[in-house]
Amino acid sequence: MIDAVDALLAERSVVAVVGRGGVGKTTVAAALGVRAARHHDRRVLVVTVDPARRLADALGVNGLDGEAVIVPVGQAEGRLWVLMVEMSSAWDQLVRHCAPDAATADSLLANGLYRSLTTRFVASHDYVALDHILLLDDDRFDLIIVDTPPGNHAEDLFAAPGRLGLFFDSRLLRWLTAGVGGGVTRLASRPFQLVARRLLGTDFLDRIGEFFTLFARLRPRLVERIDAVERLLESPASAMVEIRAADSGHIPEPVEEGDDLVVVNRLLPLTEVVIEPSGDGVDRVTLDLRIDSDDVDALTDESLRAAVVGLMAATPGVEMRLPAGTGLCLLPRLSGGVNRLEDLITLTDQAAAEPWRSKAESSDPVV
Amino acid sequence: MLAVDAVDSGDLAAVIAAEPSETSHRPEVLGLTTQDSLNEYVRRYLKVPISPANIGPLSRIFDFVSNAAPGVKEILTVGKAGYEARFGDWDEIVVDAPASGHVVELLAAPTALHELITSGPLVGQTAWLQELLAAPSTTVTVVATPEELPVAETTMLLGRLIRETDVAVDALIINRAPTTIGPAGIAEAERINGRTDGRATTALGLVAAAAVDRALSAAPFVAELEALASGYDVPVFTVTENFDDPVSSALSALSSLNGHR
Repeated sequence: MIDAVDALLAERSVVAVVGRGGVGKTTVAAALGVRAARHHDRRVLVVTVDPARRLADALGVNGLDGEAVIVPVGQAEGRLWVLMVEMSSAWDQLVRHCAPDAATADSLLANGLYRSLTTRFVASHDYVALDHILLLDDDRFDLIIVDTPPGNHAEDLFAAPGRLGLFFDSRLLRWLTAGVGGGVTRLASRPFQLVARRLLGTDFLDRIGEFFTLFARLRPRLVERIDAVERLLESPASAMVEIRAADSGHIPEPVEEGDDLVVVNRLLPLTEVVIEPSGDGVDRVTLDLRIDSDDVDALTDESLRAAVVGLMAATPGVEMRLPAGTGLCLLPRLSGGVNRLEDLITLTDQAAAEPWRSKAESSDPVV
Repeated sequence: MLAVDAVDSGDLAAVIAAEPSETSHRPEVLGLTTQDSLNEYVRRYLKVPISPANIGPLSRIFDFVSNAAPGVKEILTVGKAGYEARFGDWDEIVVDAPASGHVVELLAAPTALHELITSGPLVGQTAWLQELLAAPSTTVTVVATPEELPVAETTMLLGRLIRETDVAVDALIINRAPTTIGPAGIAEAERINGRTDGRATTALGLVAAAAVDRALSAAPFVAELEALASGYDVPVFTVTENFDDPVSSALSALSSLNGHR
């Protein structure tokens, strides 16, 4: 199953890692980056939004927001960088990059509404993380792995640039800025202005109008970037990887069509794994960990017995339906967690050894 | 009782529908969409003489305004819940709020808007919303799992709630806490595996080792959450992880919370 991962890491230029909070997205993104550098000689940049302290310490990126920091991964020809995105400064950089001149950038950054408006845009966080895939233009990198903000699904992530782009083409922006616009726009915006002034008051609407007049000047360069991000995400060079934790209870949720790979994280070795075609272009993947109940009953310590029973309940024949064409990778639960660079290496190395059991021959690993 | 799903995920309705309950005691569930709340607001307060669907050019931007205009989602969510609290016929309203990173913006939205706007109906509306949120009958219950990132987020959230909002925090619930395993249990797990380095070779040994590992990994985070809550004088309630029936496990812990209230 590690083949599916290796194929992506060897061939693609962008890997977006999505999933719910707490499933180990950042850890898996970092582990994929380490593997791509060590096994495929790639020059990898892992972009992460908010790594846990221990992982950030392990990678040496704690406190180095916004900078690509090189991480030593051994004797490999490949290289690994990690960049930790700080949302607010990332928007500032984007404004400076897209503004037609320094005066516009300065005015916008100094605008009182700027901070709260940019950070509160729906999808703005998603977009800022994704914008970093354009760093492929930087000769240092030939693979960018983006660890996305929690809760994202592939569909939402692909839609993020479009939603921001839509704003620049929207009637709303023209109407918000109509106070300084031409006669036709002003006329067309009259019903909106009437309602908005009634609701928000003249002063506030004027301040919003001033802000968006400045913001609209970013349009040509920002729309160009958004288009480039969209083209890259939709191209065969990009892959979407969804992470699910084996102990989260979310394994059976439907897999999205856009997912190229599903990674089941923190799976206990010796779990029985069965993959069966179900005849409708979907594979049925069953994860099962069964222990003789007599053995469990024989445990003398009550707290251990309760904990074992509880943990076994997490994977009693859990089933996931995997669309044809979507790869599957199982990553083991590492005792003590993933706290060091060595653990990131061990994670995919152990996965390659496939310590799972097939149903037919439970002593052999799954192929 | 009204249960409000602030992100309209459907999860809340599914959990409530799945629980056996006397019909008269089952809460009603309201899935909030920003679009519906905006439409309702326009109908109710702006008294636009035609329905939102027929407003013409205005209706076509509703979807965009409700989904992308900054702050609109927050004020409509807290506004709708507040409207139900003030004018609805409910004994209690429980809001399943969005993720921790958005909660402060949600609760601070009436104050933020009130400070920005100087005229129009929103001035009075945001004022009574502020009063409602600051009233002793409105509280926030913070829920966190004992893991590194959620604990870091909760530390930040509790500080921000207390500094930046007028809403009282009435409890911290430690959710999905792994079963605590004592020294005898740890020793037994090591004995099963015949070794002490945590590497198991049988299925039972493996699960036992993983259970011990989970318990030991969670323990410092449970302690950190307890210390955090104690620092703010907020009571703590623990929900032990229960994969078979998580809702029963939560209800059992919540009965203690209701007793506290």
